[in-house]
Amino acid sequence: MSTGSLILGAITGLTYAILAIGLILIYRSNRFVNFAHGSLGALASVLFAKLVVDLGVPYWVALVLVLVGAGAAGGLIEVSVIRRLSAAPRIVLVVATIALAQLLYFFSLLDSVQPDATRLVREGFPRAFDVSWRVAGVTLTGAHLSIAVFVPLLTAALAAFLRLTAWGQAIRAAAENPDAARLAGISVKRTSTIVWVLAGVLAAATGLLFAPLRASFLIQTMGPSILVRALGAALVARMTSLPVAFGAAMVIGVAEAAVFAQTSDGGLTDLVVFLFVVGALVVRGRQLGRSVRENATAVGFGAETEPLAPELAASAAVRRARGVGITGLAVTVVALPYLPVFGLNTSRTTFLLAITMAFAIVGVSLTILTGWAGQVSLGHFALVGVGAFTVARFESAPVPVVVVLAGLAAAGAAVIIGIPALRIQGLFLAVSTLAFGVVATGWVFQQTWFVRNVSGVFLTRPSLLRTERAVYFLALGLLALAVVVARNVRATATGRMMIAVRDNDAAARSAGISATWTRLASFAISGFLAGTAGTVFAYGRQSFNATDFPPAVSLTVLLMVAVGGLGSITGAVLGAVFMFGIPALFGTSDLVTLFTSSVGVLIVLLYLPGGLASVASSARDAIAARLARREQGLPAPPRELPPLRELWRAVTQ
Amino acid sequence: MTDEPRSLAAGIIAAEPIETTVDEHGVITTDLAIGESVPLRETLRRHGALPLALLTILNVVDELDRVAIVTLGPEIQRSFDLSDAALGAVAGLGGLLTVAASVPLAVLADRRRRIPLVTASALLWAAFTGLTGAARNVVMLVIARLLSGLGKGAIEPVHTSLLADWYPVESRGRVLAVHRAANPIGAVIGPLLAGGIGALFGWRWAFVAAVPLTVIPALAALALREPRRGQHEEAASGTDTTVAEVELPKVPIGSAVARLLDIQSLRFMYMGIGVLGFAVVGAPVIISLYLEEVLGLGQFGRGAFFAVGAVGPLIGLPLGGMVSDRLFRRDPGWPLHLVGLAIPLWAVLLVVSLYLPGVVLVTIGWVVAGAVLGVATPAFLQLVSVTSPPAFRALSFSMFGLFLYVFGGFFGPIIMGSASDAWGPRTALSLLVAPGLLAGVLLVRGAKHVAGDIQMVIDDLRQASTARARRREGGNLVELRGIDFSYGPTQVLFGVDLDIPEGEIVALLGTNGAGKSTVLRVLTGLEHPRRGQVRFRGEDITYLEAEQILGLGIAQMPGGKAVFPGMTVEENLRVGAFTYRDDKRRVETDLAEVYERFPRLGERRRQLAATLSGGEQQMLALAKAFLTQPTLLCIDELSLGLAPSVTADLLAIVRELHERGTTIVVVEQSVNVALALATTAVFMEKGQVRYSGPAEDLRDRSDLLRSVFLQGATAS
Repeated sequence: MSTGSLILGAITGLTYAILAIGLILIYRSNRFVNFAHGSLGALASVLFAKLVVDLGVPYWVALVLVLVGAGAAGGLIEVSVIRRLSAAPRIVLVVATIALAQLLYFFSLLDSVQPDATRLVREGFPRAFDVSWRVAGVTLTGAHLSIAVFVPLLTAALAAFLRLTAWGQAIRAAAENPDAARLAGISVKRTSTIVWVLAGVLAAATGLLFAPLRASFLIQTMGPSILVRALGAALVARMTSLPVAFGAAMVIGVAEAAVFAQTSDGGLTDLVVFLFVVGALVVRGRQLGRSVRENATAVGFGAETEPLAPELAASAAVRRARGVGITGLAVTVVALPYLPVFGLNTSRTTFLLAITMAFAIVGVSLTILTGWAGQVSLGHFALVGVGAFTVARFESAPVPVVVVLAGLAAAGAAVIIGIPALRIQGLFLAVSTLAFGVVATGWVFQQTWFVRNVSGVFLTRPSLLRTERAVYFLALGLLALAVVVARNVRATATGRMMIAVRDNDAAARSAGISATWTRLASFAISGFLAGTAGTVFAYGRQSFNATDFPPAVSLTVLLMVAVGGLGSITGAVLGAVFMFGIPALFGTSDLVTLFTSSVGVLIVLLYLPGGLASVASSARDAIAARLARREQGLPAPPRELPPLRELWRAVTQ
Repeated sequence: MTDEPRSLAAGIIAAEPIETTVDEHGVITTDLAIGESVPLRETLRRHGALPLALLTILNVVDELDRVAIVTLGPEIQRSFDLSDAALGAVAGLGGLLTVAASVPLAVLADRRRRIPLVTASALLWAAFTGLTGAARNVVMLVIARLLSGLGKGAIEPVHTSLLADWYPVESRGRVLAVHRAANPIGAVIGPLLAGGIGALFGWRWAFVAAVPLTVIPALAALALREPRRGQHEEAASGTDTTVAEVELPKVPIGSAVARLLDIQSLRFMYMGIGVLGFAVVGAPVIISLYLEEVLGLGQFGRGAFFAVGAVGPLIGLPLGGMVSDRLFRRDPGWPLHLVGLAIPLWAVLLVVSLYLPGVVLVTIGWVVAGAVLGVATPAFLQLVSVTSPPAFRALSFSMFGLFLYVFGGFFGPIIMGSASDAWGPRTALSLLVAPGLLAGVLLVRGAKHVAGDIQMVIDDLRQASTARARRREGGNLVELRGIDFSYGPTQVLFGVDLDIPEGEIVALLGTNGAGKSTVLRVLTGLEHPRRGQVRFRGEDITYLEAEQILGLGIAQMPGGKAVFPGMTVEENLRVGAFTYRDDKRRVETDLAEVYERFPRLGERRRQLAATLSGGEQQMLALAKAFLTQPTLLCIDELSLGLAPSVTADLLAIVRELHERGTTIVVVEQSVNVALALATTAVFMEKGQVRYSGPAEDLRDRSDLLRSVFLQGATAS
C-alpha cells in the first residue's frame, strides 16, 4: 500500500471522526444516537452550494450564514422535538431523529433548495482554497486540505470548550447528573439547547467538508454507509471520549483505504467496517456494557396497549361485536384487491398492497424484537433481503418450502450478527445491525456464493402465484401466520422472559433466565418472520438486486413500528398501513410522503405517545363500554348538549 | 423531566370537571360575585373609555394595513414586477411573523409593563408600514412587511390581556367585542380608503398615510395607567391585595404552557380552535377560487364581495358581546355552549350559501355566516380571559393564534387545496362542515369545566393573598400545602403539609419509600406537584424550576448522588459556583476557602470525583451547597452508608452552617442523627405526614418510630 493512499485514507478517516464527534456530543448530553445529524449537514451543504453557485453570495458570507442557520436549526429541533420528548423512552427519541432526518432530506430535495446541477458540476462544490498538490503519487486538493486543517482544529476547539469554559463544564455536569446540575443553578434545558446548537454548527461544518470530496454531489452521501463508520468509531470511544473516537475513525479510514488499494472492491470496505464494529463489540464488549449500565436510561420502552378489560370482554354483546368486527375485517382484506375504488383492483395497486402486507410482517417481527425484547435492529430490511435472495436460490422448490427456507436463512443471519452484540446489555445490536445493513447491500448480496447473479436475479413465478392478487393473498396468509406466531410468543414463557430481560436484565438473570439466549432467541424468531416477508418481495418484484434492499429502508421500518405503537401487534400493522398503505392508495406526492414519513411521524410521536395502536385501543374500549352498558340496561352517560331552551331564555331576558 | 409531553387527546378523555357548588335554582355558582347587568356606557364611564378607544383604533389601523396590501396588490405588483404568487408570499410573510411573534411578545407582556409594549410594537409596525410605501426594491418590501408583521404580533395577546385587566368581568364580552369589531370595520372601509388614496396619490401614499394614524394613538396610549393583573377577579371575589415580600423569577414559558394545558376548559378550547383552524385558515383562498371559477367574479368583484362580507361580523360582534355577558351571568359555562353552537352553524351556513344561485344570494349567505361567527367571537375571548390565570393571560391568548394557524393553518390549506384540485372548490368547501362540527362538540364538552376552572383561578388568588398575610404576621420561611405528587400513575405524596420556620433545623423522618426525598424534590423544584402549593416567604414557587429556586436561596444536597463522577473535584466545585461564574474573583476566593475548610478536597482537587470515598463525596456535595450560600439548605441522606466518625464530621459542618443563619431541612433514615440535630421533626409514612412537632416529643412516639428503628437496624 502506497503512502499516498495512506494519506487519503487518513483524510477519509478525519471525515468519519468529525461525524463521530457530532454523534458523541449529542449522545453524551441526551443519551441517544442522533440520526438527523448527517441529514442536517447534507441540507446545509446543499443550501451552501445554492447560495454560492446559484445566487453568487461570497464564500465566507455564505459560510457564516449556513453555519448560523444550521445552529439555529439544531436549537429549533431541540426546543420543538427533543425537549418535548425528554421523558420518553430513548428509542422514541432515536425514531424521532430518523423522522427529522427524513424531513431534512425532504427539504434538501426541494427544487427551490437544490442548486443548479449543471453549474455545480461545471464549477464544482465551492471550496475555501483551490490548490492541487501531488504528494506521494496522489493529488491533494483544497477539499482534502480543508479536512486536514479544520477537523483537528474543530475537535480541539470543542474539547477545550467542554473542558475549560463555565458553560462547557455546565454541559458536562448536566450530562453526568442532571438533577445535581439543576441544583447548582444550571438550566439543563438551556445546556441541552446549547449542545444542539453546537451540534447543528458541527453538522453543517461536516457537510461542507464532505461535499467537495465526492465527484458527483449526492445528498445521500451522509446516509447509513458513512454513519455506520462514524458510529463504529464512536462505539470504540464508548460514546464519550473525543480523542479515542478521533483515533478509531482514523484507523477505520486507513484500513478501508488499505483494503481498497489491494482489491479495488468497494463492497469489501463495507465488510471491513462490519468486521471492525463486530470486533469492537467482542473486544470491548464488557466495558461498553458497563458504561451503558451506569446510564440506566439507555433503554426503556413505553407500555403496551392494555387488553380489553375482562368485565367488558365477558359481555355477550361485546363478544358478538368482536366476532362481527373480526369477520368484517377478514372479509374486507380478502375483498380488497377486487374493489373498484382507488384503483384497488388494478394490478399495480394490488402489488403495492401486497408490499404493504409484507411490511406489516416486518413490523410484527420488529415488534417481537424491539417492543418486547427491547433490542433495536437498524438492519431489519437486510434480513428481508436475505429471505428474498434465498427464494431466488431455491426457485424450483414448492412455495411453502421456500418460505420456510427463506425464514431459516434470515434467522441464521440474525443469529450470526446477534451473537457478538446480544451478549451485552444496551443498544449495541442497533450498531451492528446497521453495519450489517450496509454490508448486505455493499457486499453480501453481491457474492456469487449467496446470490445467483451479481447484477441481479430474475424469478419466474410458480404457477400458484401467477397474478398480483395471488401474491397479495400469499402476503396476507403470511401476515396472519406472523400474527399468530407473535401472539403465541407473547403468551408463553418465551415472551415473558423477553419482557423480563428488557425491563430488568439483572433481576431476570438472578431468576435463572439467560439474558443472552433470550435476546438471541427473540432476534432469531424476528429474523425468521422478516425472512418470510422476503418471499413476498421476491415473488412480487420478480427481478431485484442488492440495491433493492438499501439500509435506509431499515430505518423507515423502525419508524413504521414506532408510529404504530411499540410493542403492539395491531400497532405494527397499523404502522405499515400508515407508512406504505397510504402512499399505495394516494400516490407518492410530496405531501403524502411528508405526511407519512416525517411530519406525520413526528406528530404521532409528540401527541400520541402510545402510537396509532393507542387510538385504536381507546376507540375499541369506548365502543365495548357502550355495548356492555346497553346490554346491562344501564343508563347512557348524560349527553353533553347545550341547554338550548335555557340559553335562549337567558339571551332574550 | 417536568414538562413531559402531555397528550391533549388523552387528557381530554380522562378529564373530570373540578367540583363546583350549585345553588337552590340549580345554577352553577363560583365565588366570582358578578353584579347586576351594567350598560356598557356605564362601564366605560366608571373604568374609562380611553383605553378601549385607543386600542380599538390601533386595531383598526392594523387591519387597514392588511387590507391595503391586498387592495393595492396590482399596483404593487407593477412597481416591483412581482408575480401573483410572489405578492401572496409577501402578504403572507407578515402574517406568519405576526403569529410567530405573538408568543414571545405574550411572554414579555406577562412579565413586564404592557403599555410601553403596546406603544413600542405599534411604533414598530407604523415605521415599517411607512417603509412599505417607501420601498425601492423587493428586498426592502419584504423586510418592511416582515417587521411590520412582527409589531402586529402584540395585538392579540397584549391588547386582549390589557382589556381583560382594565374592564370588569361582567362587561368583558362587550368590551372585547368592540375591540374585535375593528377588524370588520377595517375590512369594510379599508378597500375604500386605500383604494381612494391609491387612486389619487399612488399606492405608496396609502401606506405613508397609515403612519400618523398609528403613531398618534400609540403615543397617546402612554398616558394610560397600567392595570394590575387580575384586579377585577380579585375585586369580584373579595380578595385582599397585598404586596409580595420577594420578587420571584417568572415561571419559564414551558411550565406556563404546561400549566395552561392543565386547565380543562382551556384545553377543550385550544383543541376546538386547532380543529377549526383546518376550516378557517384555508377557506378564504378556496372561496376566492369559487368566486372566480363558479361565479365568474373578477378581482374587483372578489374584493367587493369580501368587503361586503365583513358586514356580517360587524353585526354579529356587538350582538355576541351582549349575549355573552348575559349568558355568563346566568352560568359561566354557557357562553361556550353558544360558541359550540355557532361554529357548526357557521360552517353549515357557509356551505349552504355556496349552493345558492346568483352572486347576491351567495353574498347574503356569506354575510349571515359571518354574523354567526361574529356572535361566537366575544364569548370565546371572554371565557379565555376568565379561565386563564391572570399571570399567564397574554400567553394564553397568544396560544390560540398558534393553535389556529400552526396546526390547522399548516395542513388546512394543503388539504383544502388538494381537495379543490380534485373535486372543485365547492365540494372542497363542503368538507368544512366536518371540522366545524368537531370543533363545536369539543367546545360544548369544555363548557362543564368552565365554572370549576374560574373557581381555581380565584382560589389561587385568595391563597396567595392569605399566605402573604400570614407571612407578614411572622409565618414560616417555607410552607408546603396539600401536595399531591405522582411518578407516572403511582401516587407517592398525598396532601402533604410541611412548615419550615425560619432559622430552625427540621428533620424529615420516615421509613424507606415514605416520600421524604420526593418532598425535597418538590420543594426545590426538581419535580412539580400535581396539586398543592409550595410557598417561600409567602410567595408561590410551586412551578418554578430548580435552577430558579436556587436563585432564591434554596439549595439541596441530593442523597448519595450529588457529585459529577466524571469531573474532577475542582470542576465539581466550579460547577457549584455556576450561578456567579462571571465574578471570577469571588469564585477563586470561595474555592480557596473551601480547600481551607475541607483540606481533604484540596489534596484531591485534580482527582475525578468518582475516585473519592463515600464520605469525601458527601463532603464535596456539602461544599458545593455551601458555595451557593443558601438561606435554606435541604440535605437528603447525609449519613447514608457512612462511618459514624465521618458522619460526626459532616454534622459539625451542618451545625456551623446553621449557626451562620441558614435554615436547614434534613431527611434522614437514622433517627439518632436527625434528632441529635433537629429542633423540629416531621414524620412521614406512605406519602402522608403522621407527626409534626418538637423533635423531643417524637422520641416518645414509639408507635411511629418502631418502623424506622427496625429499618435503621437493617440498613446500618
